[in-house]
Order: sequence, then structure tokens, then C-alpha cells
Amino acid sequence: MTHHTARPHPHPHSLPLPHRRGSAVFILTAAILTLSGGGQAWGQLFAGLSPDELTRGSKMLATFGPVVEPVVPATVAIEHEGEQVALGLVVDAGGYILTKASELSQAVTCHLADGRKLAARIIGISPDHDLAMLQVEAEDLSTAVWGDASKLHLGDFVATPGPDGPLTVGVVSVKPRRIPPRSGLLGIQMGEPQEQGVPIEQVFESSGAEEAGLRVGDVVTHIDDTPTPSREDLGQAVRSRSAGDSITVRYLRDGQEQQTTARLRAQVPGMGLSRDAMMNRMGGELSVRAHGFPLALQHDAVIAPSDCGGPLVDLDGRVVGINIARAGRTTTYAIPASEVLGLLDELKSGRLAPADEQDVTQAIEEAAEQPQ
Amino acid sequence: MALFKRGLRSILMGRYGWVTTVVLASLLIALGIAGQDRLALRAPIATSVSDEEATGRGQDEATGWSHALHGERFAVSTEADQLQDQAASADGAGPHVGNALPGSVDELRRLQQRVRQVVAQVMPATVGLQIGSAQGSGVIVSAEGLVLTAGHVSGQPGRRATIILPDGQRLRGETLGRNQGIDSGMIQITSDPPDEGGFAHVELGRSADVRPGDWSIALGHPGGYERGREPVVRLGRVVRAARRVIWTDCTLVGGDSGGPLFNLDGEVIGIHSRISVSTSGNFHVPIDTYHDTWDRLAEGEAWGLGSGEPRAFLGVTGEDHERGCRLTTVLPNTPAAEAGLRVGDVITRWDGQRISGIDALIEAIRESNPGDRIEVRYMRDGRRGRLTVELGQFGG
Repeated sequence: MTHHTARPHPHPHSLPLPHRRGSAVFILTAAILTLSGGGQAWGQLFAGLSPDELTRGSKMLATFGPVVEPVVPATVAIEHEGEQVALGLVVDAGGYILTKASELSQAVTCHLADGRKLAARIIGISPDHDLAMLQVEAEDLSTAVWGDASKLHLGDFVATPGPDGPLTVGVVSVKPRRIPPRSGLLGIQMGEPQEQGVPIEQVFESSGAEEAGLRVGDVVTHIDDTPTPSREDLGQAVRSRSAGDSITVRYLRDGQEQQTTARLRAQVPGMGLSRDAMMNRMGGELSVRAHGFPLALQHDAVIAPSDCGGPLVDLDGRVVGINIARAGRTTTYAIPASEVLGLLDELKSGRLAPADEQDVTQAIEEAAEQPQ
Repeated sequence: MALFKRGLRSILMGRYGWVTTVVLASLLIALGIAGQDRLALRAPIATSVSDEEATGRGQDEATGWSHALHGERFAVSTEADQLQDQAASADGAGPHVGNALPGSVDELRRLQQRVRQVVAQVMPATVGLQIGSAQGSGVIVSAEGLVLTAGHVSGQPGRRATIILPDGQRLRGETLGRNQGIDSGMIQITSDPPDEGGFAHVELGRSADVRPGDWSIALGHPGGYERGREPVVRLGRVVRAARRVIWTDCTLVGGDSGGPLFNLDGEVIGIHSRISVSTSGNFHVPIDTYHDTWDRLAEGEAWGLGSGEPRAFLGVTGEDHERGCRLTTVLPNTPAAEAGLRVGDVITRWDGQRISGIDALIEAIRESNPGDRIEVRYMRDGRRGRLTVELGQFGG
């Protein structure tokens, strides 16, 4: 680096170890290792809070036990082939359970807090909110009391219960607001534009482009009927759509005009994560459908994507929202109670129901896509 | 490196593995969102993605490895005297305000009430920052518009900065000094203050009073400033506190860098700096390091040697000794050897400043520049001595 010329090393060849940078690390690190001279002192060096004393540690969770107690019986594990894919909340004793739509597989079972496992039907989906209504054969389910997210203050505690008690806790980070969608990746490298469009120079593995059957040499002419004569046009056309969206790609292969549908991804292996995306993944998995909600409250509880879909509870034990996405290292979103309550009748009515099984699949996929 | 790895392994398997894993896996990442400017080159890189990252990001960031190790080292090594102080004073210390773990819902309510008040009080002074293509956070600490931030956000002194208030109002400013070693930085708002009372600002606390278990509130702009989103609130506890770093479980991410960490009195106790892979690993520059170097920062001085910059080099290993730092190794052909230092010497003063142990020595070296001629006092075989050492350089 340039600093060598600015300030020459007084002993340029004198260091005994072959790699200067490495040796520096060695010397200084060795100093630390000798600092205390034994395991005991290392312990002292690292004295601090033990894991159970952390903000999301077991002691705090125990204190939240009585807080979530009234909601736990109404909290449901949504399972597919025995594995939890989401949480849910009983919203009607007559067998209605609300959950996160995009985490559902075709056949789900509702594992109730009392241990019962009941087969569920999807009877309504709101793609905008990524919420789904399930129905099970039961008449005697426990329900919870709704609260009001608009009465929460910044910094107020919110707890996420599971069917066995508190799962984790956090505080209100941002009051409810619209969460805009995020653009997605197609998974190609663009070559020099030709007369008809932009040729594909590379197709990344496990990308939407690969799944759609695009190949090196194909010349992309249109995205969703928008001509893409330049790389800028093609880039713009892709960026204007969200992760989870499907786009129509028109292209030339061996002079023949062809068309395929590709689903945009939030990330593609090998395309590199942005620094931001990389940091946001530090500390756990994120929801696939994590952005694009009409209204969501943001809190700082660290939850797994499969713990979304269930209730968010204030200190009064009231349901103030439905956890809808783990969106980043600092960020979990919940649809506020008022917004959810406005949807319940519609979701239960059957008017948002998929007509048959194929439609169910399609409806789930649509929910996974982010609205523009 | 072999010794280092051996040490690492034994530490990882030790009783405090959960903590050391966090620190030694040490994917300490500077939190600024940097564009293609030099800031990007200074940011340590996570090792967990190093295979992909290294190929995509090139040589400069590949060096982040060693810097990450340094970050870790300082996060670790400078704990010693502080923790010893804590241990020494533990007997006499009464219950510390702000560190109680609530044991009942009533206690949760009281804590919540306090957090609400602090958040409302400090929100107006928490700002977003845009400097070149870098984004970060900061906090206004005077009516005249002095802003504290992280050194890797403010960058070089004399740069133009945009300061964004919680309501979206944009102000002009200029970067002042920074200590790249500890990652502290300062900015002056140059736009006119509001007529009455100047800029909304917060009070500064003392990080020497911070203890493990203290509740703390982190504000900032994760992901960078977003229109219509006020600074984002996070609550956590202090996991450990030392002179050069505060560690909390307030989750932070890129864009938070430079944002304030508050105690339950609404005083700034730290400035967000870097993170590890664990959501419980979030690191802040202690506010006392700003107090200690206030004039230098305010006058626009840049110092402290960090990533990508040459650092001063002595060439010894050492251990704590009742009189100072006892040298356990003096590597041949290093500034230390050439100046005449020997194994067994106890360094008592560095440039006139008392050396209390190995940490103090490391810190003193780190605060010096390559090429500096430093007067060193030492004890050898019970006798005092003094000599002058000309510091070498590594990195850069």
C-alpha cells in the first residue's frame, strides 16, 4: 500500500517471521495469551453476563411467563410433516387460525397448545399482508384478547409466545408504517448489447434464471413486454420488480424467439451479497417474504422465520399484532392488531379462498410475491 | 500463528466458550455502509463469508482478516485492568442503578416506563449521517451542533457531511477529528441552529460507571436513513464493559455506526462501532474515550492507526507486573531489540505516561505513530533505566 512510500519502514527486512502482517498479529496476540497465564484468568478476562442473563436470555423469558400466559393456549404451531413451518393464532373458538401465508406448504397440521394435532384447510389468503386463514375441525379452541398497537410507545416491551410459553422478547423499535418491497435478482451476467437485445454471458446456479431454463448465449429482448435494448434497460426492468415476483423473459435462442417465466430471488449464491445484506444475515435466517407490507410495526426481538405467523403480546397480555417477517439482524415486522382485525371477516368468509388445491398452491405463491 | 491457533483452540474449549466464541470468532464488522470510497477498504470483513467475499472484494478487504483480529484483540486485551478494577471494587460496591434484571411483571413495567421516557427524550438528538457515499448515524451533544459519531463514519477531517434530523430535515456539516484506532469521530453542524435554545442535544455520561447488566438503549438508522422512519429503538444489556469497548446485546447492523448508546438516565455512554455474528455481539466505543480526547477531536485531528493504515510496532510480548509490563519476549531485529530492551525488563513509563501492565503498553503503542521516538523507562534487576526507542511500522 502507498503508506510505505509516505513513511518508509525503518527496518524493512528485519522482521524474523516470513509474513509481516501475520507476524504482527502473532506478536500482539502472543502478548495477550501471556497476559494472564492460565485458564482461570481467561475466565476472569471474559467475566460478564452469562447467556441466561442476556436481554433475550432464560431469566427474562421466565419473567415474561405470566405476561404471555393468557395467549399461550391460543398459540398454535403450524406443522408440515411434523416440522414447524410457522406459528399461528386462534382467532375464533370455532376453529379459525391465522398464520403467515408464504410459509405454508400444501398440507399443514395445527399443533395446538393442548397437544391436539388437527388437519387444517386454507380458507383465505391476503397476499398483501402475507396472512392466511386456516380452518380446523374444532369448536372449543382457546382465544386471546386483542390489544391496540397504536397505543404502544417506542421502547415498550413486546413478547412472542410459542405453544409452550415465551419464545423471545423485544421492544417496539418503530411505530407502524408501510414497508416497501425490495427489488430482486434474476441471476444472469449481461454481455455486450446486440442489435436485438442483451446477450446472457453467465447464468448463476440456483437462480431464477437457471430455473427458468435461460442459457448462456440467449439474447434477452423483453422483460414483461418492456423492450430491453441496453443493459441499463434490462437492469432497470429487473430492479423494478421485487424478490419473489415472477417476470416474463422474452429472448432469442438460435434466432428463434422464445419466452419463459423466472422468479426473482432476494439473493443468488455467487452473485455476492451486498455488505448490507451480509450483515443482516449475521445472527440468523431471514424470512423469504420479508418486505412489502401495507402496515407493520417493527420490533427488535430475534425470532426464526418459522416462528413468524403467531401473536405479538404487550405487557398486559394482549395481542398487539401478528409477527409477519424476520427481515434483518435488527428487524422483525408485525402486522398491527387493528389491521388484522379489519381482515378477519373477509378471510373467514371464503371469498378469499382458493377454489381447489391447485389454486391453493398458486395463492400461496402469490402471497410469497411482494406487491408492487 | 501456530501459537495463536493453539491458544484459540484451548480458549474455545474452555468454560467460557460461549463468550470467547463470540469474540474470537470475532467477525467484528464496522457498521458503516460504505460505497466505493476508502471507507469500504477500511471495513473489516466477516470471515464467515470470506470465501465468497474475498473473491468478490479483492485484496484490500482481504486484509480485513488481520484487522478483524486486531479489533478482537483490543476488544479482549484491554479488558484486563478494567475488569481487575471491577473485581477490586466489587466488595465495596453497592447495588448499581440500572442493572437489575426484572423479576416480576411490575418490575418490567417500571423498566418500560423508564425506557419510554429516555427514548422520547433522546430521539430528537439522534441523527442520520451521509458523508460521501457512506451512511451512518450520530448524536448531537451540544446546542451549537457538535455531533459524535464513529471514526469510520466521519472519515477524514474536513469532509462535507449531511446531517439528517429525525423529522427528515437535512443540515450541512463538516467532519472534525477522529481516532481511527478506537473508532471515535466528531462532526460540526454548520447550518444555523434553530433560534431558540439551539439544536436538540443530549447529555454525556461516563462509561467508567458502566457495568455488566446495565440496561442500555441503542438508537440509530439500521440500513441507513429511511424517509419516514425515525431512528430505530433497541433495548439491551451491557454484556461487558472495558476501557476501550462496551459490549451489549442491543442488536446493531450497517448504518447504525456512529449512533448513540444511552443509559437509563438518557446519557450517552457509547457510540456504535461493530458487530460479531451473534445477535448478542454488538460493540460500542465508550464515551470516556471521547472525553479523554475531546480537544483533539474538536480541533480536527486524525490519529490512531487502524485498518489499512500503518501501525506502530515495538516487537515484544509481555505480561502484567506489579511495577508495569514485564517483557517476556524481545524479538531480534525489532525496534525493541535495537533500542536495547531485554527479556525480564519491566517497562514502567512510556513517553512519560505510567504503564500499568501489558494492556497499557499495547494501548500506548497503538496511540503512537510509526517512526516516533519514545522515551521508555524500565526496571532491570531492581535498577531503573531509560532509553529511547524508534518505533517501527507494520501494515499500511
